[in-house]
Amino acid sequence: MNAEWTQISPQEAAALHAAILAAHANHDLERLVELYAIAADSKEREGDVDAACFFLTQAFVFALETGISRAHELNRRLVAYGRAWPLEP
Amino acid sequence: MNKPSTLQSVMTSVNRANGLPNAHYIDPVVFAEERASVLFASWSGVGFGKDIPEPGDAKPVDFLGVPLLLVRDQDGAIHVYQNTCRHRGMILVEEAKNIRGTIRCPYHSWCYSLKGQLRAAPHVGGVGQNTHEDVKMAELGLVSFRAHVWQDVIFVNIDGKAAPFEEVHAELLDRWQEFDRPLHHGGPESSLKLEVNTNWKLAVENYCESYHLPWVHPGLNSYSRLEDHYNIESPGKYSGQGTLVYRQLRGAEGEVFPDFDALSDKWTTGGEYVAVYPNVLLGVQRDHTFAIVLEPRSCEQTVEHIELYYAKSSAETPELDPLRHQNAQLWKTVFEEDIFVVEGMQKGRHGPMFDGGRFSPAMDGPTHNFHHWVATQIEAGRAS
Ligand code: FES
Ligand SMILES: [Fe+2]
Repeated sequence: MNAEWTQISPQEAAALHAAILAAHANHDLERLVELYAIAADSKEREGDVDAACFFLTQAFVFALETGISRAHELNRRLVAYGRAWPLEP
Repeated sequence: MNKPSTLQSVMTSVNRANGLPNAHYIDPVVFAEERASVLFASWSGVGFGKDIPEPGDAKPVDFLGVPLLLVRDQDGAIHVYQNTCRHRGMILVEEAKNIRGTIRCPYHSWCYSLKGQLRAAPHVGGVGQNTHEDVKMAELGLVSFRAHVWQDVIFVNIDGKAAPFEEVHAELLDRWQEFDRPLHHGGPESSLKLEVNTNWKLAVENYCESYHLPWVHPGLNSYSRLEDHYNIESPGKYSGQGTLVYRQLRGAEGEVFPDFDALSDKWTTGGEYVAVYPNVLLGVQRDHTFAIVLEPRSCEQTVEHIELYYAKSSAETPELDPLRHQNAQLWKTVFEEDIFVVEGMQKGRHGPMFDGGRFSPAMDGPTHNFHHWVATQIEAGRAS
């Protein structure tokens, strides 16, 4: 995804939505982290902090569940918005 | 509550005592009382370390209706949690699995670390808002039961009020300290599960006496005479039997299992079989041990979970796999031979005129020791 874009197209949004549903259906947690983080990034670029934090939370929870280190990065972003407690290391 | 005088007849000397009355075996009301006063108030066995061998392994267990979650954390320590989410009370883990990161509740995804802390409560303050001033994460960890692992058995004190395990069982821990060594489970064939139509206590009582050996286990008795056995009785703690003539199993080539390290002479031909009150039965011998957890399913139904352990693992001694197989078969035969007596005693207790029975003062000490302890626990429960 191009970082210059401020918005993703409706087609891209629909594709992302479909990919998230498929990852849920497959219980593919790593993929869920990745896809929710993409959704969060795009909402962040649109300036929609509430929506970004919703997706960041989703990504964070699945990252926590799988035990991947990315949970810390996602947590820091939520903390920066005042939306989560810092994870202890 | 008015104390039934019948328990007084249990709590006298073995020479004069009766066994526990029928109600303790067939009455669901008494079963519920024993659940609280006997099983929840002491250190009960609920599973085995070998069921959760790897860090992150989690296994749900139903213990007398209480949903438990056995967990091995990343440091290898075993925890026993209430398998209930602190949010809306959802069951957290339905099937045994390995947890890589946190325990995520399947309902609203509150996440708990393997050490039980609440790590995330997503959207708890509204969508995308993961904090709320009134939801204190530090106060919302998983409910953790006191647990202790010994001889690979996971013991739990549900009511939280028992003295520490090491204190309650200090004498037995000392008696068997030579067996406080790494135990290697014998593999899938070394796990036996018997579903028996009996009250759990009858399985304890039958296990800790040697009186029945010549009748019920004539095979055992062919090389193990009654006089080669002795009673083990520690009032208020444990009881069982010992043998002076344990003989190692030998394979076709004369091969035997390797011994546990540095055992004293007592164990060259010695073996001891002890009921660790309330519901754990253990056996130790020079070359293998076993552990049985009695799972009381209901007043008249019990599942016996039997596990065999060795001094060396199967990976270290693959050439002994056939011997481990043979040993598992031998024990299976012995334990199955006991089924008809524990089920028969259960049926017998529906005879309304049975008075709890009269003991052999010489042979039934270990059984009476157990009854005395059960009665004491019940009285303590009634008094509190
Ligand atoms: S019940 Fe577990 S998160 Fe809601
Ligand atoms: Fe027996």
